[in-house]
Amino acid sequence: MSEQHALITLEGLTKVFYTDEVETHALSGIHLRIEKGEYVAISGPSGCGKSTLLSILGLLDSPTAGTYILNSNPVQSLDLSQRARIRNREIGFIFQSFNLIGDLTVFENVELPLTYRGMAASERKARCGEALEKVGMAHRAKHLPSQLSGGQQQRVAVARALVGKPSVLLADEPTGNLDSKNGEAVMDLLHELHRGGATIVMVTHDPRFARHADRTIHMFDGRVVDESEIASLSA
Amino acid sequence: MNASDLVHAARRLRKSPAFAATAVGALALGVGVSSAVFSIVNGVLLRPLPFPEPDRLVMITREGDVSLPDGRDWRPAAPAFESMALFLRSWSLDLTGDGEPMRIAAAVVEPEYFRVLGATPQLGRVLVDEDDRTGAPHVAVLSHALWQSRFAGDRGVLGRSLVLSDEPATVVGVMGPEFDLFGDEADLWIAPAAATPFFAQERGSNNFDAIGRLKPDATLARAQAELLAVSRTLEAQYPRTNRGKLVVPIGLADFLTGDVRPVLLALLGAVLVVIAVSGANLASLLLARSAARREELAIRMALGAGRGRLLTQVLAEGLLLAVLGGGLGLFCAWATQDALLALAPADLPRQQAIAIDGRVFAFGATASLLLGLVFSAVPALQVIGSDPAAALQGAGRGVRPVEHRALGLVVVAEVALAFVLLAGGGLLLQSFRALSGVPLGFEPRGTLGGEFSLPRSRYGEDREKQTRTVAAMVAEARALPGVTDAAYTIAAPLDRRGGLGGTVLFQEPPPLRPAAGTGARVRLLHGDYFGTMGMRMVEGRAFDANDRAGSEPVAIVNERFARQFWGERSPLGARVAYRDFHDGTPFFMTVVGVVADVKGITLGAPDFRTIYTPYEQRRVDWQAWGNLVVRTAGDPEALRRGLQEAVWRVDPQLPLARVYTLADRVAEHSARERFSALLVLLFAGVGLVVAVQGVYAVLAFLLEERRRELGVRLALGARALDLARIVAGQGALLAFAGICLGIPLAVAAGWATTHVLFGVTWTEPFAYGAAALSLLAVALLATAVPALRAARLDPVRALRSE
Repeated sequence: MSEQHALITLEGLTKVFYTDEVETHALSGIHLRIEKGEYVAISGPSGCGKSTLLSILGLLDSPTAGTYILNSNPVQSLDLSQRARIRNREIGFIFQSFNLIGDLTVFENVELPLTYRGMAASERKARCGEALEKVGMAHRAKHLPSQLSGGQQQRVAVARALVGKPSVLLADEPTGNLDSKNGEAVMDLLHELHRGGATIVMVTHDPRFARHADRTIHMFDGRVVDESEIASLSA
Repeated sequence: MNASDLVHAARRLRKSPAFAATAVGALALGVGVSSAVFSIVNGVLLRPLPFPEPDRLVMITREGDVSLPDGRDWRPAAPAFESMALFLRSWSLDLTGDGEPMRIAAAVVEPEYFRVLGATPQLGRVLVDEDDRTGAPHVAVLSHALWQSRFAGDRGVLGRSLVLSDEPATVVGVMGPEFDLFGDEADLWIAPAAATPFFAQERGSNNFDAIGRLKPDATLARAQAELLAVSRTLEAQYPRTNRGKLVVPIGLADFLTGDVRPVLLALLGAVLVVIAVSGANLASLLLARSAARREELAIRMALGAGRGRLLTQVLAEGLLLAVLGGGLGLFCAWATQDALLALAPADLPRQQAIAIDGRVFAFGATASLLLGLVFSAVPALQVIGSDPAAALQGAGRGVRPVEHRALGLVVVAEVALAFVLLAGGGLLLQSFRALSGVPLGFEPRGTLGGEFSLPRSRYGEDREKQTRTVAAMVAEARALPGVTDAAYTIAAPLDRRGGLGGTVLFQEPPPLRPAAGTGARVRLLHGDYFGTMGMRMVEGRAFDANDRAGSEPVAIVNERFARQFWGERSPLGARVAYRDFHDGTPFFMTVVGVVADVKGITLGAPDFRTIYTPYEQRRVDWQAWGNLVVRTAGDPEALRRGLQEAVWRVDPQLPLARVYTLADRVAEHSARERFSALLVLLFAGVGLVVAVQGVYAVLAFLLEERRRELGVRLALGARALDLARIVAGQGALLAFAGICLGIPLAVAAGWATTHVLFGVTWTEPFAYGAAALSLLAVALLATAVPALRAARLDPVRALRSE
């Protein structure tokens, strides 16, 4: 695939955390390309840097060094306001613990990214209805999150992630707080979205769910490694 | 609750120093301020009078006081009284002999006075009946203050001879420091026969008050009936001096505190509001804390702790807070007592009874314990009442909606109560400003006055000598460096005694006949009094050197006098006379001028109808006292000594008493309003601080609780400004709701206290508007830090927080 088609390109991405006098290298020279429409799983043991990578991909955090190109634009050193704008338009988040806002209804939760975008109410309503239809939660639009099961809450969270029609969906252990049945249902939903053309990057440590992806990136100690390397490192 | 509960509670508080300091500070502030003010209410209204069986003490009042002969006629006709005494609260005497001559305030009392009050001396004896017989040797009982200041507390003072207005008198006793019934600071007590023998037969000289002690089985109603009967008898016997004068007994405590009671009760209401604000504040802090401790309490319950046990643990924390906050508050109230009293108006009754006594301590301690225990138990019960399993599952998911609502309601209540205090303070401040801004009719700045009385022993009935002396004193005063003008007046403005009283007679009937009768005040003058006081002539001329004894008698009337008798017409040329009870023959004077009204007695009341006449033209010899007043371009305080020395150059034995600046006198007359406004504004300040603290604490707490939610919002594209707006909006909404709730409460409080306001009404929009704006402003200020913190939130950390 040519360079022009890459949705995400990471070059020598490094993230170092400093605590007192200790320097922790969460990410060490990550090189990664993710094409538009690709479904990528990131897996690895706890503390390997999966979530840090996802935070940087989601512009919630910035790298210590390296380059991050999103949709052909370098985004590694944008200011807070520019990052918020790109996050709102280009990125959809799905969290392990759903992170729905308890005081807001299902509809209002889904509407939130569009509100921050300054979209007109009528358009917001149409887009939210569409997104909720897509995840099969339109009938619960007026419910509060506390009135839903875990699986239903995650479907609402997926709707919220999709509603802004982002370039990429970032899912951080989306099944981590769900039983196997609900977990499978969410994975099926993501699979369906992917078939519809969505680009998905999913962090998971469960190999069963990683198999749903087109490609799995393995991480270990802040680096991307291949499977054989994993085996030697684990030995 | 046992010691280990308290130890654990102390440990928990030590782990949360910010919470502990905030809660203790809020409690200390509320308890301290309310205890300090309660000590005033307690001292003035609640503490029993320092006399045996004070409930039986009664003031016997009559419009315009009573004369000695009339009062003495009451006694046999009122058997409901065990004892009764007439007394003259303040009679100025010159104390000469050893040391500088000084003018002292004597209380002229019948010997029965001490028996009525059940008062005993610290040294020697009190007055006895023999001391009040005509021709008896003059004796005096000293006040503790005079004994200390003039005689250095010498116990050998008994038997010592004093010279009081040139009359010898022997010291027979010294009273204790607490013996000061009216707060008049009398220097000594002396019998009427010694000090005012000329009043003994004068039914027209209504200068005395009366006090009585009811018999144990007598009631006030019975006493009133008896006194009514005797006043009817006297009216029939002496119609000229007793017409329409009804005698009314009033309980002594009510008499002493009656006019300050409404203000003090209003202050007590404000105290209760302060306590409620402090309670609401503590509740908000503890609600926030107990919500944060829900997980810990759930774990304790899961481990087998009973609900009672958990409640005890939470109460132990409340108890510790109560003891620390209450103790600190009471200490502050005690430490600031003197400063508070220094600000109190001089005429606040029973100031010597104001102290942090057992009742104030009990008030402060009860308030602290109630606040600490009740307000810590309520939120604790809410948490402990929940299902432990649910609480455990819910751990980490933040504040439940019900707690959210409770916290919000508490803060709204705090803001509402603070609004009541602020609006009340605003109303009182406006009332004070209105009182301070009333047109005085004279210029108080730069004027200094002093009172004197020419002793009968040396000036006797020699009117010419009296006039010469007054004129010489005015001339000496005018010659003082820096003095631009000097004059004599029998009564300066805002003198509660207000000059001489009399009935006005007209040679030709004036066009109008006011319903209020024809009484007027008469003020004798010498020198350019109107110029010295900065008073404005409205019409005609001022007195001049031609207005002397033997020349055409002249008078100047004030505007009120002219308006009430002549309306829009000019009174110039009219012939008026005044007649008092000493003088039956009318003495007509020609009105030559009209001068502007001044504030004669109080700032709130209009001037009396007043006739000014030249001192030289007075017709009686007993008008031998008055005020020497000077105007200076510089600081009048610097002239105090000079003014006394000017008098001594004329009469080395004549002291000036009560040297005063007119500016101070004006300030004294608005002191009560100033004090009330100050106290309520102090409360309002406390309310404001506490409300802001509450808003801040709750917002800061909710920010912590909402950290993850705000992180999610950031992930969804919210900007820092969006988060700051959410937090600030929440604070503004709480403040706005509080103000909306506070408005009707403040209006109701304003309406209930309208009788203590001057020149403003409870509907005054400025007070409410200013209170609302102040509260909104400080509430937004309180939201600034949490809002800023929200704006700086790190989304990665926020999303990780559990």
